[in-house]
Parts: sequence; C-alpha cells; structure tokens
Amino acid sequence: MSVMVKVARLMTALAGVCIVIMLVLVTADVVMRGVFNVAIPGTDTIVASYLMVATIFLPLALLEVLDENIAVDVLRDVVPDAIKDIFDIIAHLLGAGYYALLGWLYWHVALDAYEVKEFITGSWDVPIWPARIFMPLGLFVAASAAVLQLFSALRTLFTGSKPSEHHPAGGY
Amino acid sequence: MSEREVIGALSVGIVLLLVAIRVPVGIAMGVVAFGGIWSALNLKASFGVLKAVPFEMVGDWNLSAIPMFLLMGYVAASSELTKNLFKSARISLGWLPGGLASSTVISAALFASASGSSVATAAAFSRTAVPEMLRANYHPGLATGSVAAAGTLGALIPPSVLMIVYGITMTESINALFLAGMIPGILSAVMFILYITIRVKLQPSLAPRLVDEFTPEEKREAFRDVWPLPLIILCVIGGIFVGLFTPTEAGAIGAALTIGLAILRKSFSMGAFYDALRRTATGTASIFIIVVGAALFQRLLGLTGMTNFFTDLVATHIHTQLGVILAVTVLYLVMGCFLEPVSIMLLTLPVLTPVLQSYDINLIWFAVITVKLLEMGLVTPPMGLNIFVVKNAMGSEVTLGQVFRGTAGFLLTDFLTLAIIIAFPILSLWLPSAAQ
Repeated sequence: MSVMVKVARLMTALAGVCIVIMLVLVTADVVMRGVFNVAIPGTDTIVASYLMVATIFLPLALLEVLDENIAVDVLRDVVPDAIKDIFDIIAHLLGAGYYALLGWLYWHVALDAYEVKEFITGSWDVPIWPARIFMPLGLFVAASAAVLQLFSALRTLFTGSKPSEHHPAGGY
Repeated sequence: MSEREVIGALSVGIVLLLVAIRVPVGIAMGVVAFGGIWSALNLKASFGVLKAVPFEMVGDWNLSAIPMFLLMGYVAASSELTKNLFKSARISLGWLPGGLASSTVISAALFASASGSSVATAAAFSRTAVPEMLRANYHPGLATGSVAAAGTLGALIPPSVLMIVYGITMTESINALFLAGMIPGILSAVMFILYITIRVKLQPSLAPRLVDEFTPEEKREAFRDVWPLPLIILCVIGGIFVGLFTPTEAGAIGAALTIGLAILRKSFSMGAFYDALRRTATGTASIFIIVVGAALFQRLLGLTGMTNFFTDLVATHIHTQLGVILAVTVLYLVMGCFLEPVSIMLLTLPVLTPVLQSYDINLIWFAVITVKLLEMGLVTPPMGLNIFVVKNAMGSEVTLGQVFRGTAGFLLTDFLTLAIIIAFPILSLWLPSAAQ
C-alpha cells in the first residue's frame, strides 16, 4: 500500500505541475493579447488536450487511496462495522471495475492516436497523441488503488478489525 | 411503460441506492449508465458511449476555469489577504444592533466570493469571528448561526465554481451566469443584515451593544490592509464585464493576482502553495469524475426514453412555471439534506433540463434559483455541512443544537430571499442583459 501511496502522490504532484503551467500559460496569453495584441498560439489546445486531461485523471489514484471521492456518509456512519465493510467492498469493487474498463477503452484510444500521430490543426499543428496516455495511465493506477482498497476492506471484514473512518468531502 | 423505460427507471433507483451505501457519486452514475445502456441496447452501444462521452467532456477548454478558480480560492483562504476583513467591517458596521454579526456577514460574503468555498468560509470565520462575538457576550446561536449562514453567500456572488459547473452542464454562458448571481447574492447578504438588525432590536439581550474604541491609527491600519481581496474580486468580475478576458481565463487571472498580491504582502509560503495545488488537483478530479458520470447517465436517460417519460409525467401533474419551480425547490431542499451541492446539481440537471425547456423556463434565472437552493442545503438539518464545520471548529463551546437553532432564523430569511428571486426574475436577468 505504501508504494501505492507514493505513486499516487507522485502523480498528483505531476498534476500540480500541470496546474502551474496552465496558470502561467493562460495568464501570459491574456497579458500578451492585452498589451501586444498577439495571442500565444495553441494555448487552448495545450490547455484542453494536455494540461486539463492530466489535471483530471492523474489525481484519481490519490482520491481512491485517501478515500476522498465525493460520497454520502449519512447511512454508513450509523450502520454496524460489518455492514460498513460490505459497503466499502461494493464501492471499491465498482470503482476498480469502472476505472479499469475506462482505462482499457482509452488505452486503445491512445494506441490509435500513436499510430496515426494524431494532431490538432490550428495556428500551428499541435501534436496531441502523447497526451492521450494521461487518461489510461491515471485510470489504470486508480483501478489498482481501488483493488488494494478492496483487499484492505475484505481484510477488515474477515479479521473483524475497525473499518477506516471517512473524511467527508468538502463542498464548493 | 416500455421495456426500455423500465430499465431507465430502474437505473435511477439503483443509482440512488448505490449513492446511499456510499459508493462515490460519480462512480455510481458511470457504472449504472454502462450497465443500463448495455441492457437497454447492447454491449457495443455501451462501449461506444463510454468511449465517446468522457472524451468529449474533458476536451473542452472551458473546463480549465474550474482548477484555476479552485486554486485562487485555496491560495486566498490560506494567505493573510483575508486578515483585516472582519476588523474593517467591524469598524464600519459595529454601531448597528448586532453589528458584529452583520460585520461577519459582509466580510464572510467577500471571503466566500474569493475562496469559492462555503465550507472554507465557515471554517475560517468560526476561528476568527465567532470567538470575538462570544467575548462580546453575543448569544452563541446568533454568533455561530451568522457564520454558518454567511458562508453560503459565496456561491451566488461571482466567481463561483457552482455556476461554472452549471454552465458547462447546461451549455449556458458562464459570463451571463456570473453576472446573474451578483444582485441576488448581494440581496441575500442585505437580507441577512436586516434580519440580524431587526432580531437584535426586538431582543437586545442577544447581542449587547458594543462600544468599540478604535484609535484613528487602528482604523487606518485596518483599512490599509483590507484592499487586496475586494481588488481581486473587482478585477476578475470587471475584466469579464468589459471583455478583457473570458470567464474561463478569469480563473487564471484571479489565481495569478491572488498569488502575486500574497507574495507582495509577504504572506505567501511554499508549503501553503503546495497544499493549495494538491487540493486543487484532487478537487478538480473529484468534480470531474461526477461530471463525467452525470454525462454518461444523461445519455442513458435519453436512450431509454426516460427523459421523455419524466417530462410527460411532470406535464400531466404540473401546469405552470411556478409549479415546476416549487417542485424543484422541494426536491433540492430534500436532497440538500443528504448530498453536497455539486452532486445534487449533476444528479438532477440531466433529468430536469428537458422539463425546464418544455416549460420555457429561463435557464439563467433557474441557475440562480438552483445555486441559492443548493447553498441553503448546506445549513438545513440533518446534514447541513456548514453547521458541522462550525460546530467542529468550536469544539465544546457550543452545542450542535445551538448552531442549528441559531441558523434557523437565517434559513427563514433565505426562504424570503428565494421568494423574491423567484417573484422578480429581473433581479437575476438584468445584469446579464445589460452586459450584452
């Protein structure tokens, strides 16, 4: 599990780097446009195809590891421990399946993109095939994290130890 | 009901069941969408939808507004930019009956606008404003209630993440949505202040009159440090209004300004910045997993004919716009008891959109009503998130019951505000139309 936590944190850090690049790029684009009346070419493509995709999919594993996905705690808080474990098992099973399925689909999308060297035409042709790897990467690691969480929920069920507490996700 | 409609209806039930047993909201919607389309049509269609929909969603450049505004909020909340907000509000409004509570409302509204988070606002003011009110012998209910309620103001006053999520889901102009929330947001704050003033006037023991003695030097100092936050909000909204940048870009500008001012005022730390980045990354991912799930679920409802079925069902029972709005009000208040705002919005909008369209309800006006209702859900029992945040921050100094009772008056005031927003659509629609 500790290796998983490290991997998940590393991927989230990478997403953090992408957020900083996004911040700098978009701000620079607005300033350049306002002051010199020239836009930075390809900004929207880079933001949408690379930076946003990385920001969305790379932290999924950490969400799974820390159990920070937005979920409803009301019922789980009041049921006995064994039922809590069963709830957790169902949640992680579905999570693992969903992420793995999406990951598998987007792995093929990434392969196809690699074969045709996909790019988006614009003021300059931005190659976007390398960005296609972010989705399957984030999803597969998230699926693995969910599988590990599933095992740990199964273990607490059978050893009868205390199920982990959940942190309610913040509102916006 | 046709077979497909039965599958659609069952799917709605299964999603609710899964959400109830704490399957993450986004995963529940996504999994059921996949299974539902598979059984209603076939596996190939299911794969097709699963492959196409998330891809279309995340490729949209407008989505980048979400991480940027989240980042702006986390940086603003952790920096010292918010420091003298409460003090200067206190100097300006302290003379009112219940002036400290009113000062809380004004400063929390500004803070919530910049931080974009009701919960962060409630947490921050529980630690600063509540102790000051308690020291001035304010009734604990009034002290905590005003903080829990004022935290909810940020979602209407732009910039607002909830409005962005609404705009993306409904393909409405985020620009128009931001402007639409402005007057209703300010109205909500004014109504809170009126409520506090009248309440304390009738029952002066709730909030003993405070004789604040500030030296001119203290006053100067408080106002000297208060400008960054209002300035940031003004720049972001003003820039959108005059067309300097789009609402999507406004997020990055707001975040850059906030970081820049924090560095300038020596209240920027790398540790806090890393933490803000981590929260931004996981916050973005957790919103999008629901956005993607909701988009998939929307396809399922469309493909099974559930959308039409539901629209027809509503049409046979409700005949006026007002009827639909009232039904939605009840629905959201009930859901607000159990779910957080983004989830409620994304669970319901796919089903409600065709209904709203068939009744010719203005979707910008509806956005304001929706956001107001969702924020009211943060202070309604049994699951009012803001109330728990305040209670947790205060520890044993107040009881949960005191916070709930203290918030009740604000909630009633909110109902009145909501009625005004519903009765006068012009309050929401005037600014967006003036901007065009």
